[in-house]
Amino acid sequence: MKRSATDGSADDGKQKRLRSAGGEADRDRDRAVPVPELGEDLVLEVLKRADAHTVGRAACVCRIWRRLAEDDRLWEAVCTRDWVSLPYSEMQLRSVVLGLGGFRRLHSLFILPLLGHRPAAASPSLAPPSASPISRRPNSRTGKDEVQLSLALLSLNFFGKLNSKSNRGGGGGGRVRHPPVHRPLLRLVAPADCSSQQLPYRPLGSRSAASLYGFFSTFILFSCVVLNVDSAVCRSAATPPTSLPPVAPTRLSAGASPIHCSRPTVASRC
Amino acid sequence: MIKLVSGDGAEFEVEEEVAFQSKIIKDIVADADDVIPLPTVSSKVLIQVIEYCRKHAAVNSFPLSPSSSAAAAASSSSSISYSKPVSDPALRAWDNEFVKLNNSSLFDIVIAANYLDIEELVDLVLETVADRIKGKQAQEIRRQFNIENDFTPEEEEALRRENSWAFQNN
Repeated sequence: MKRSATDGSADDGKQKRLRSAGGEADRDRDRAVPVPELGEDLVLEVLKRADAHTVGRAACVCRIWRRLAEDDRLWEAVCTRDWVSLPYSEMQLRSVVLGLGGFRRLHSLFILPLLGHRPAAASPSLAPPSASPISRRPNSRTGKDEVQLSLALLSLNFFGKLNSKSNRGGGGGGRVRHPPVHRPLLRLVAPADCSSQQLPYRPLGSRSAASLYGFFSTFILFSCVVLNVDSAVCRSAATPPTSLPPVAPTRLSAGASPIHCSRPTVASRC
Repeated sequence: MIKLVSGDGAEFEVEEEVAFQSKIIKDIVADADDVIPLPTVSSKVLIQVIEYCRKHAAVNSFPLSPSSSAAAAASSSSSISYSKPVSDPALRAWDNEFVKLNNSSLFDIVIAANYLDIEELVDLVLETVADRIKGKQAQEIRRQFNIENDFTPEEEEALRRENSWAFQNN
């Protein structure tokens, strides 16, 4: 039913013209008013804007919040918010990290110990209005080296698991199980309580040669980034063996060294 | 002028540029009416939302000064950013005043802003709510959000152990 704006005057007391002072009367701080339910989507959005410690505590609020606090999108926001910009795209980072166990795992095992429970800086909306908008969280940005170290450790951790699993799975009677090579390195960073498996972890569903190649080339990607290996060496190392079907290489975004990775394989499996 | 009708029947006439801060209203007006019923939004909340839109429409209609547009460009080039800080300091100050409301009013506003798809307002309120639960214990968050604790004492204890890192040093 369409009504023109001009017949508004006929609408006696109902019609209200908004005045700038309209909201003043409502600015009370009455806490007795029942709080409306925000809904899961909005609660998730709130938690995305909170720091890791708050999210950890929020998981203890109720069952719904616990489920929301496990959402990996949330942990992606928590992890990447304070990162310096990296030479790969959001999508590339996401698919690789999800393939290696997810952002929640990354945060719990490697970022948290690296940061050493550093308290987060004040959030912008409570900052004094005179502060420059781009100077928010001035000293809390995670450096490139810290980010890449945590990504590399996640990758090493993943392949360590893979390694120990296949040793266990294929082990016949009397076979010696070798401990994963990276253990001492992990112990350097992760304290004892974090290195135990607290998080749900899904091992590989299939261990076909193609998927192994996919994970292996991801490993090479992160190793190369951390060790700054010459790109020519990377390319030769990432070349698939002749017996395997070649995986389509993806070029990194501008500014990155030309290393090959096969993220779709990784992402679709986990 | 566009006429907005709240859930309790009150009508508000607003200029197009004010109403078009809401993407939903912009879409509706593009292919139908200029009288828009908003059955889920009460007049009390709608007044506040319009107040916000009016202020932002007025500020946004002026071209950015060179310094603030440079600041906007610098902030948009950073990594994933869920909040786009408002570049005008005066507007930021106004926003900070605007969100000095109790949780109940803030939640009403964010639900309405989400429904009307006013991205900046949703962002502003969610940032504020996130600040209010920052560093709070679970019990205090439950009180703020009016949530009942549905864990058994054993479950709660196990969760606290699992998330013990979150209860340290902060």
